[in-house]
Amino acid sequence: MSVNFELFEVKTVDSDEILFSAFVRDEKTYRITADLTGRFKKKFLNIMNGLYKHMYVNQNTEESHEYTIDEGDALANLRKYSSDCAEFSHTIVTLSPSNISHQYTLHFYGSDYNMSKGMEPKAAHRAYDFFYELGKISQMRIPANNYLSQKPSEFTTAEAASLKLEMYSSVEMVDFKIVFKQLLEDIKNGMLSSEAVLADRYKMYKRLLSHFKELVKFTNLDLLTITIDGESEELTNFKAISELSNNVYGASISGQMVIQSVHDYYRDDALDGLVVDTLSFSQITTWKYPKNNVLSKFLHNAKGEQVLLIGNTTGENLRSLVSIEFLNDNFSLTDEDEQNLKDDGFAVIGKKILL
Amino acid sequence: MPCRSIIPELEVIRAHNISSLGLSGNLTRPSDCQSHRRFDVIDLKNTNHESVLDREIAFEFFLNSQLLGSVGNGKVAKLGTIRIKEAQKVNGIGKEIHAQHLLVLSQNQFKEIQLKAKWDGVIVWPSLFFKFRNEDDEDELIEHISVYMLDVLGFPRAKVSRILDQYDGMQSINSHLKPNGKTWFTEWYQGTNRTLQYEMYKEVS
Repeated sequence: MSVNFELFEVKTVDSDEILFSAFVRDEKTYRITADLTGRFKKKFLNIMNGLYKHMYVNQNTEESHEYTIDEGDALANLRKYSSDCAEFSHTIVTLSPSNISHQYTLHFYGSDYNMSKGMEPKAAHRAYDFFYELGKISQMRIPANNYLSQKPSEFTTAEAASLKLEMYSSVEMVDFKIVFKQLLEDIKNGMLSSEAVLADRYKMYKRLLSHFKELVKFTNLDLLTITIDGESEELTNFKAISELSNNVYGASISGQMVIQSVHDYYRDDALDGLVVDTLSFSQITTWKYPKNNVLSKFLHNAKGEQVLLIGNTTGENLRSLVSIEFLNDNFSLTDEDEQNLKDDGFAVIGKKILL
Repeated sequence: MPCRSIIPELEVIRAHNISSLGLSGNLTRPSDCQSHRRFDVIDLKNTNHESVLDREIAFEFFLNSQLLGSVGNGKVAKLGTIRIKEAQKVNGIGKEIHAQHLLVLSQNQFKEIQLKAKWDGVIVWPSLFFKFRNEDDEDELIEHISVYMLDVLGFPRAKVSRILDQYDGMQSINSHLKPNGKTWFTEWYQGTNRTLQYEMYKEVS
């Protein structure tokens, strides 16, 4: 959803120092980014709400006058102040379009959150933490998409009663939105996406998921509405999300990978591990299998080969290997390798090895 | 005189006799005298019988007027602008005049002195512990002072911020506002088309 924030800035005339600056959309939606005296905020609010006034003396007539601003809306009031202030202040005030144009909204509705006092402090604190983490996740660098070449301007605003958090940003978080929408879709369908589907975005997906499973801790939360680009999704069954999340480990996954190395887990006499990377060389994962010298030696010699792996997740970057299939046309197993693998109990079908 | 019960004429004059500076006050026109209000215009002359004022002092005394520093009504003195001739400005003259005002008003059971500060007064009066009627006005003045410190004194932001953090009334920062060899705050401040005016008050006793 496109949003328009203006940048209100008060600067000194000679030194060009910023006394006060704020992104502002209306009298309720604003973000102060600088206030040197710590006292301008109240004036800023008064201006927006048509309450600002001062008495002044005309230098020529020495008559006293009252200056007021009441243009009807917050931005018009700020604009009026910016055009008049040179008459009574040694400052330059501007109200100009800002680079903040993207918005994400998170609205927590809880059984007792809609009171005028707002959420109970613990829940509010948790909600702020939750949104702060979302902000950090939204800025994750995805290797395939380098659009975040510089740190975007962004901020959040919140309403006290029935906590509504809005996140505004100067850039459109393409990956974040794709992943967010995918996660919401998966939660609705009760089945999470695999790394093979999300590829480079899988890490972001997992981080997002890890925060969503914490929603169950909002004991009074009835409904969480998430709006991205004007489209809203509603979440209600937070326990189910948590359980879905817990079942990630053990879920079947597959993906095309490149063999990087083989780890001999000599300290763990039960397992070896095949270390692979995604095709775009962005995320190393280890696919473990029961310790086997024949398979480890064979895989070690296949370094750099492109493979299709099928397995189960056992941790953030850990998989247990079920099958491995070599994808390059010019790759073939020697008769000796095939026989040795079969002798050790593996099934070999063409270029596919079943553990 | 119906206004005598508010403050007698001789006391109004005594409020302007400042022996330490050789100044004496006299009424320049008959009092506007009513039972609830007294209005006097006073000149202040030195030992050479020359007026030290650019403009005579207008003083209004009320038997029962709204108090600004506390709830209710009481005896209130409303002081007009005091403008001293440039050539007659000596160090501490404003402070001495104010001290004599305060002494006489206190002895005549006044509760509060009220004024509208403008020009130099925006710094002088709060430095003499007058309070702003409207705290937004004080914030506004501090905004002007911060601009002055950045633009005229050339202080870095951090220093301005530190000074303002330690602000505890105008007397805590006014040493920065009259620097040697640089434009004083009040002179700089009056360089706009409009001079702001702040309502202030001080409890007398």
